[in-house]
Amino acid sequence: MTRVLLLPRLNELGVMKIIDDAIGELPSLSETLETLEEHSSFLWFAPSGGSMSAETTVEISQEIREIARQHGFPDSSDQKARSVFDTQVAINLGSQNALSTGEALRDDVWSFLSSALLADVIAWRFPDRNPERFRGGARNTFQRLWIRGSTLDLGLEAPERWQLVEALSEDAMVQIFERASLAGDHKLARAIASAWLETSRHIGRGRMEHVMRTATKLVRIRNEIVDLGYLEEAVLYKEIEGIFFRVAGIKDGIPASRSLATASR
Amino acid sequence: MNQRVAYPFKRLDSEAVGFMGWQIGDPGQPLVPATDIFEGWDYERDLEVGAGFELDFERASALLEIPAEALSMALVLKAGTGSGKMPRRMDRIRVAKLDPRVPNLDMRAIVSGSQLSGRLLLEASIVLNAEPSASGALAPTVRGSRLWSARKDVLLEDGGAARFPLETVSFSTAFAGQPHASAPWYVHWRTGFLDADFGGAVRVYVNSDDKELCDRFVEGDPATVQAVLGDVMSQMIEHVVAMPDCDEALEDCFEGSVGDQVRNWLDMAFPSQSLNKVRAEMSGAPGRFRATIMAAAQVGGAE
Repeated sequence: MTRVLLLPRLNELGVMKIIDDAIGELPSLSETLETLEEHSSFLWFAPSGGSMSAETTVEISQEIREIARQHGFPDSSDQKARSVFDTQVAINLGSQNALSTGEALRDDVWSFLSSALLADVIAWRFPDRNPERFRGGARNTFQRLWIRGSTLDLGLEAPERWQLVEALSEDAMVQIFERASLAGDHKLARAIASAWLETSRHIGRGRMEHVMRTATKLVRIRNEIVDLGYLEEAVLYKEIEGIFFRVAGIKDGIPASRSLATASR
Repeated sequence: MNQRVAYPFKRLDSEAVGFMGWQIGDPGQPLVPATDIFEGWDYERDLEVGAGFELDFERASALLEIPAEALSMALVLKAGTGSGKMPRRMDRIRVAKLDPRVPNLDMRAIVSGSQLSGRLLLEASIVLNAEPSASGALAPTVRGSRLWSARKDVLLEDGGAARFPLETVSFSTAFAGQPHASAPWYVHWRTGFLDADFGGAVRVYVNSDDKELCDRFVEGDPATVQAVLGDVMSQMIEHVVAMPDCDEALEDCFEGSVGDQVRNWLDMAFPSQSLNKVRAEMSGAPGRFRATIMAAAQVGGAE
C-alpha cells in the first residue's frame, strides 16, 4: 500500500492572521512564513497515518505558480486567461497522486496551500480577494479546481480524458460542485456534466446557463426520491440527458445517450 | 434522510426493515456497535462496517402495494467522508439484491483508510430494484425509488468540522490585546454569506485559558454545550431573520450552507411558524425568543 503523504494544514486562526490582517497589501511569502514560525500552533500535520511531506505542497504550489505565469501573472489577466488558468490547474490537481487520498478532502490542507503559499496568485485570479477564495472550502480557489479535476477525470484510458473539465463553463461547474448532493456522487456529477456537453452541442453554450440552473434543480428534486446513482451508467446518462433536453426544448425526442468513453471508475 | 421530502409513493416502515444498527471495527475482526466517535483511526487503518437486518417481506409487500412475486428490492450501503455538513464524497461500497428466502441479512464492507477524511458517514438504503409488473396506485414503480434509509455519522481522528466547527484555543495568545481576549468563547462568522459552506464559514473558539469551562465543554457537559450552541444559534438566527429579504435568501441556500443550517435551526426552534411570526417574536418578546432558541439547543436535539 502506498503511504499517504501527510500535508501541512493551516487552521482558521492562521488564515485569519494572514489574510484578515493584511489590509491593502497581502504579505509576501517570506512574511507569511515568518508569521507561521511565530505562531506555530496555526500549522500542523496529522499526527500519524503516513509520511509528512511539506515539500509536496510546495511543489504543487510551484506548478500552479508556473501555470499562472503562463497566463499573465502577476501583471495582467483577462477573463479568457483566467478561464484557461482554471482549466489547466484543474487538470494538474486532478492528476496529482498525492491528492488522491483523504488529505485532499480536508479544508485546512487547502487553506495552507492557498493562504500560505499562493495568496498572491489568488489575488491575481480573484482581484476582489474574497476570503472564501483563501480559506479551505467549496469556494477555495484551488480546492474547487481539484474537485472538478478529480471528479470529471474520465480516466487514463479515455480517449479524451479531460474533455468535461475543458468543456464546461464556470457557471456549469458551480451548479454541480457547490451542491454537495450532486458533487459528492461522482457518477452523478459526471452524468450531469456529460448532459451539459451534449445539450450545449444542440443549442450552443450561450443558452446553457438557464438550462443548467433549471435542470440541476430538477435533478436534485428527482434524486431526493430516486437514487439516481443506483441506475446503470447508460440509464443514468439517458435520464439526466432527458431532463436537460426537456428544459432546453429539444423537440426531436430524447436521443439515445452518447455516453462518454469512460474507464471503469 | 431529509424529513422535508414528501415522497409520491408508499415506503417501508421500521418493522418491515428490522434494522439492527451499525457495527464497525478492523477488517476480519469482530465488529462492535458503532458510536458517534471512533477512536484511534488514522489513514493506515482500514475499517470494516456492518449493518444487520431482519426483513419482513410480507409486510413490505403490503406496505408498498406491490404483490410479493412482483417486488424486487436492493440494499445499498454507502460510505461518505470529508468535512462539511454534507460529506464531500459519497461512495457505494456494497449493493445486494434482497432475497425473500434470506430475511436475516448481515451486510458488510471494507472502507479504505487512506480514502477517509475526518468522518465516516454510513448510509444504508433500500431501493426498488425493478419496475413491478403489478402494483397499487401509490406504489413505487421507478427503479431506484428510495424506500427506506438510515444514516450514522462517525467522527474519525480530529474530524470536528464534520460535526460542528469548533476548537479550543488560548485567547490570551490568539487575541492578545483585543477586547474579547477574556471571553469564554467566540463565534467567528461572517455575515452576508448565507450560501457559504457552514463548516468553512463558521467556527466556535472556546477559551482554553478558562480551564474549568474548557474541561466541561470537552467532556460534553450538557448545560455548557447548550449555552455555547444556543449562543451560536441566537446570533445567526437573529441576524438572518432581520434581513429584509431573508425568505428568498434562505430558499436559495443549498445543503450544508450557512443558510441551510439556519433554516434547520429555525425549523427546530420555531416549527411550522412563518418567518414573519418569528420576526415578530424576536422584536416583541426578545427574552422568550432567545429562551426558545436556547431550549432548542439542548444537547442531542441540535444536529
